[in-house]
Amino acid sequence: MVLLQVLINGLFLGGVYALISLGLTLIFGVIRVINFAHGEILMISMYASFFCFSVLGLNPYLSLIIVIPGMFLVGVLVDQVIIRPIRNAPSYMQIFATVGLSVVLINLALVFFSGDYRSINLAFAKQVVHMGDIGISLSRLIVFISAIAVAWLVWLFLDRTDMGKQIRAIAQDRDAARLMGINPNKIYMITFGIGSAMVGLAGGLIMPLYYVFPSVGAYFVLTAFVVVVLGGLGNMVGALLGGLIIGVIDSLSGYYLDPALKEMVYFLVFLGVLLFKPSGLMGMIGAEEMGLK
Amino acid sequence: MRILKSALLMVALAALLIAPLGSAMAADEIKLGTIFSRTGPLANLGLDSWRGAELARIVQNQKGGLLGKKIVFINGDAPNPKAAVSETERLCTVEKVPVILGSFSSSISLAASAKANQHKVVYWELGGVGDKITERGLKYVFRTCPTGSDLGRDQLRFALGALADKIGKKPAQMKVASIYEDSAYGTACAAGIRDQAKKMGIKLAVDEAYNHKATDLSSLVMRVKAAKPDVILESSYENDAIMFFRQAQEAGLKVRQFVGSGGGMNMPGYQKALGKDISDYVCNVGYPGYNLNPKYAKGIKELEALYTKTFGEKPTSVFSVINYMGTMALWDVINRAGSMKPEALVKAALATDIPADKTILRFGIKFAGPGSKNMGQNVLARYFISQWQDGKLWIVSPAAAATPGRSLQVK
Repeated sequence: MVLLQVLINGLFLGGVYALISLGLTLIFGVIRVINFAHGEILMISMYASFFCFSVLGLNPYLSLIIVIPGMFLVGVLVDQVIIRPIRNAPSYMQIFATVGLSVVLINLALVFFSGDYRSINLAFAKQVVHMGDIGISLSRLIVFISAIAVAWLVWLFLDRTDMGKQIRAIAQDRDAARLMGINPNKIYMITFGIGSAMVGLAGGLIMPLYYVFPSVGAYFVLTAFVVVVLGGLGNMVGALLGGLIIGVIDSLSGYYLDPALKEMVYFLVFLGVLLFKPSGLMGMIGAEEMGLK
Repeated sequence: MRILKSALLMVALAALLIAPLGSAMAADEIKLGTIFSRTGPLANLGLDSWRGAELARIVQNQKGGLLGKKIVFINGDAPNPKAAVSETERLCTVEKVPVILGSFSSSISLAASAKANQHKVVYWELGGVGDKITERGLKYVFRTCPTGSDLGRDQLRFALGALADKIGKKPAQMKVASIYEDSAYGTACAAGIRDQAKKMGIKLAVDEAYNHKATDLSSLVMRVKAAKPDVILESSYENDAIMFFRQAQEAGLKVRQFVGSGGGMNMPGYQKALGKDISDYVCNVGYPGYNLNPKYAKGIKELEALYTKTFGEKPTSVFSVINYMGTMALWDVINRAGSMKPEALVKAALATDIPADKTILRFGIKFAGPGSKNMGQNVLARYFISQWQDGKLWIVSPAAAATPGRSLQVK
């Protein structure tokens, strides 16, 4: 019974990781922008959700209708102002630019919101459904289901729609795509926006469970990069799977080994996967090199 | 030329007249140094700690000072350990003070006290809790307040003492879980708990570290839940304390009481995030403030009034009380030493034996002597227990010290 509970905890935690990583998969995995400010975009969306609750009195689940489009705009803005000028520069330039953006955003948040931990005390977030000895937290279940739904929807979008095909075409060969009449700037902008909107969803859904402070992104972003690479760059199902695997390993090793050792265990698994399958669990062979200059 | 000559003569004459006056003034004063963060990130609590020492200076000067002289502070500003070293250097060599008082922050105290010790200047620590401060065998360093591992010691003492009584269990029947974040702060507390458990012959049901930056503590919660403890002793920062408590609620982990060691568990943000759920359910070990029972801490109301009168505002934190108490102990040492010579001061300090009822916080002062592991540490120092009730922290233990109208509650 304990094992089952530990597994459920792990899957739910994996849902959180997956939901945060899906947006990064699109930005880092598909259009290959190494976005170190991903965590700060999460931070902004959590603050947005927090202030919708504390100032406007909006339920965090309801405020998603404001937060998600808002974060889409933030993503578009970041892409046009920061990324666009260095689109053709070597990839380490993007690292410098996005690390810089991350530092600026953290410090702006410190100035405006102070370093205090803020959280939403929502009765719903504490509701647990008991089935025998097993407890299932409803708000975590919502995160878990959303992660699966978002992964599936984005996969459909990339696979079936014309826009999705354009995005994949740009990712595979920008020059050839341009010759086919695709406007790369528009596609990059929209993809960055969608990726950020997905992080907005993640921020809004985890706000009732966590707390926000200016450097909260750093807590999640490293795991998110691991999830994206583990799952296979650019693969939505891979990111979902990667998130769930990391969550379950985290939970199992924390309970059966030692809570202090859990990061070590999942990084070992991560190294193992990279060693035997460098393209990640679901990634195409060679995907790890494609598009990176 | 003549004018210049006479001007010079005038200056020389004036100097001759003033010089003895100056030295006469200096002879009537005892100059002591202080090292606190008066600016920088720690300035809020650093300055409030200094205010405690300043109040003790004012009180003693009203009584006629020390050895027939007025006490004067030369205040050094140490926003960080590096500045602490250079300010200590200045106080020791330029101002030539025989004693320096400090310093709220452990890292500042570690740096400043080592420097003072080099110059054979007594370093009197009033509020920094890092165990290392008194574990380096430095002859001139003394500390009146309790240490970091004393936090853990007092967590367990309270859990098996007043709390076990209230729950109605014998100490040996109590199941105790100890969880702590794995940086210097948490490990010091946990070591204190472990030592005390060994002394009392108690086996801890859980003794687990975790990283305070973890994004999930559910596996730790499950481990603690499996052990079915009566009480959880927790040393956490704010975010991890909130997360542990919330995930414990989700997992249905119920205990009779949480006992924290300050850190994040006495912060307003912790209370705000968890609301009434922590009421009567979370205690903290730490420094007491002005809400002590005035019948127990005699003179605490007068001290609060003096604080408000002197600084023009209500006390901004609890830190002035412990700093005031430690400084008053220094006056006792200087009076017994009869001189400001370092050797005489050290000798008098080591002979200190102030009984509990002679200090405002009612714990005695007696320093560990040469040869012991923590030379210069006040071995009688202890903390007080407060509990969250109705959104505020109130002193609840020892019972006699409890804020009037408050007492320890369990759910």
